Amino acid sequence: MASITLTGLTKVYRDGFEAVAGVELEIGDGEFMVLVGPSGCGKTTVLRMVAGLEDITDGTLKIGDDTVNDVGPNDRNVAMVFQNYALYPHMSVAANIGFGLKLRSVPRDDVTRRVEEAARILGLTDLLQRKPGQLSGGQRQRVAMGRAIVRDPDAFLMDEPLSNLDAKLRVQMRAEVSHVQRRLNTATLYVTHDQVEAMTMGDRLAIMREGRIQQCGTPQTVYDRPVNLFVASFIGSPSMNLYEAILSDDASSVAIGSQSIPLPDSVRQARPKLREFAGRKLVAGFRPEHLHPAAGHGLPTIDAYVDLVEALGYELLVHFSIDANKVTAEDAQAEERMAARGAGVARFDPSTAVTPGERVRLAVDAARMYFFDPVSGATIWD
Amino acid sequence: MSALADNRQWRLYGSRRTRLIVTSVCGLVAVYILMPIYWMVLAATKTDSNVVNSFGFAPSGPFELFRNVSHVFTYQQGIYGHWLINTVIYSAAAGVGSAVLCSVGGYAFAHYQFRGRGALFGAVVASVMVPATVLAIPLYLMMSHVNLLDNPWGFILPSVVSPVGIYLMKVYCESAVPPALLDAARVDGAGEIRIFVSVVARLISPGAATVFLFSVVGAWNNYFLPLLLFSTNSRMPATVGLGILQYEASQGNTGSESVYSMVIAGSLVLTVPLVVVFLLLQRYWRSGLTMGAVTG
Repeated sequence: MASITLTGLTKVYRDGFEAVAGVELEIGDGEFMVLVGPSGCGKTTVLRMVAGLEDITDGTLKIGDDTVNDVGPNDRNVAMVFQNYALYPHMSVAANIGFGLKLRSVPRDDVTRRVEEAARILGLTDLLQRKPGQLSGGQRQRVAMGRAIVRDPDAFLMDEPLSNLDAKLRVQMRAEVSHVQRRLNTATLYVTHDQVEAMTMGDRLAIMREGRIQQCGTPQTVYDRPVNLFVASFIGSPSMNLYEAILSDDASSVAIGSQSIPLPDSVRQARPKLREFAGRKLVAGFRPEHLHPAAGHGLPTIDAYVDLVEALGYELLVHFSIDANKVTAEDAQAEERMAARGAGVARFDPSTAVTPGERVRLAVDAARMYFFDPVSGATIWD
Repeated sequence: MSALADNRQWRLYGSRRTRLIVTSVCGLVAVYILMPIYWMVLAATKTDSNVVNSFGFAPSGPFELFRNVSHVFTYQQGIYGHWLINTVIYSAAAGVGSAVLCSVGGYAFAHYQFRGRGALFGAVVASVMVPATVLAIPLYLMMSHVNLLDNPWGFILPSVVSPVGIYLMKVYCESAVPPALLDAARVDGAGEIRIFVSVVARLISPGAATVFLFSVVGAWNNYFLPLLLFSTNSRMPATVGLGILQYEASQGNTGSESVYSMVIAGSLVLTVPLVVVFLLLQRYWRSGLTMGAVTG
């Protein structure tokens, strides 16, 4: 058991490409840290550096109190779960799980006992003599977990371990992985591009983009108080609606397209820096669940045209468009960039009567709006 | 498979006429390839005079196969048996050696980044194009420098080196050994040699079997190199040995003994082990192609 400390961790490839730039991160003993970001953001490189599979160009990596920059992967006492499971195809499940112990010259009786214990925790007891080729995806995933936990390592490193499973199994395994991690209480660094996985599993998450950590905090913190446009649009599904807006000269209202939303004093007081943008352009955002059907809220409203309604049973996702310019964080996903001008999504109660093609008034809770600097992308708070 | 499905399957391969043409061409090629073998098998059953005087593609005269075979093994105090043992030793050494060397080399080219990798691999691929005959004289001179002329190692060492084998194993390693598996073993605590022995060797053994087979066949059938490198009769492999016998026969040095049919019987005896090895390993080799590392 140990903590993991990354200080100024940097990776520059031989061709000069900087994959990871000065990452600072501390994963406490027993903490479940999720590293999340779009593909190519450098999260897997960070994980591989921690594992020792990738050289560290600059910065220091500590596991416990030891700096392990120059320690080989076989001597770091970390365990890793790979995206493709990477099970040894010619070995039985038991041999796969016990391989690491065998290499450490653990007595045979001990290996058997610990393999059986790991198998029991993961429900693999009946499969120990099978070969990986005879297992289903979920079972292989469990074997890969078993191989990690049996060694009682200082840390678990997991590289998108659930991405090869089908949607239903992924939800189930998500809970299982979390459960096993809590039970063993071992520092865990978990890499994923799936923000739902990140939100549901992590004690804290670190959001990465272009080799840099954008924000690190508890799921609720990054959701409620994203530090910038990228984090705001990356975390949350459906993602935050972001539009070009202009703040009035006295900062008393914000114009989104041709429509204006008055900002009460409380909103301005909570965001003193907003005054600096008086009379200037900024980016306004609201989360889908903060838009309501207009009736009876007494909140300011905007007019929207309903493009599509997705009924999920427990809620309606109302895809609408307004006459404003949508803003996307640069590396938001491609399909989002292609979304129609002014498109947005609102989350409604399933009992709401709303049909595609109609015009609706959306109530906007200004207190829950987000504002961003259009140049730097930073969130405008205080 | 039902007749209907069978029929449908066939239809995929074209009309009845196309099939007929293709089958005929294949048949002709098969006859062309098998004819000398058929001749050899028949001739090995004939007496010396019948080999020369009778129609080659029909049996004739008394069935003398066993006599011919026993003759080849008893002639000149059983020198042929000695040559055959030499062949087995040289081929096995070449096969095992090149399987190991090509596995290690191919694996390194496939999974390690090192300075000059591209150039080195380019050199290996380029050397595939160089015919062995061109190398004979330089090889002879090299072997004479290191005192390996007329020494079994002089023949075994060059037989172990197989650029095609290295190329084959590189390609095989790339497809059969996913890099994540190596990473997993490293994180599990294995060193590089351990990884090769415990994980990689098992995964690439079908590819290594192929290389083994190629090298065994190459060394087994090699005539030119041992002829060049060996000068003592007792070091010769059976290929050269049969040549010596045939030469003696043509010079009429064998007196009244029937040597032609004996040489042919010797050729037959020399062919059988190769066919057996090929059939045995072919099964293993084919099963290996479907075995890869487990992914999702």
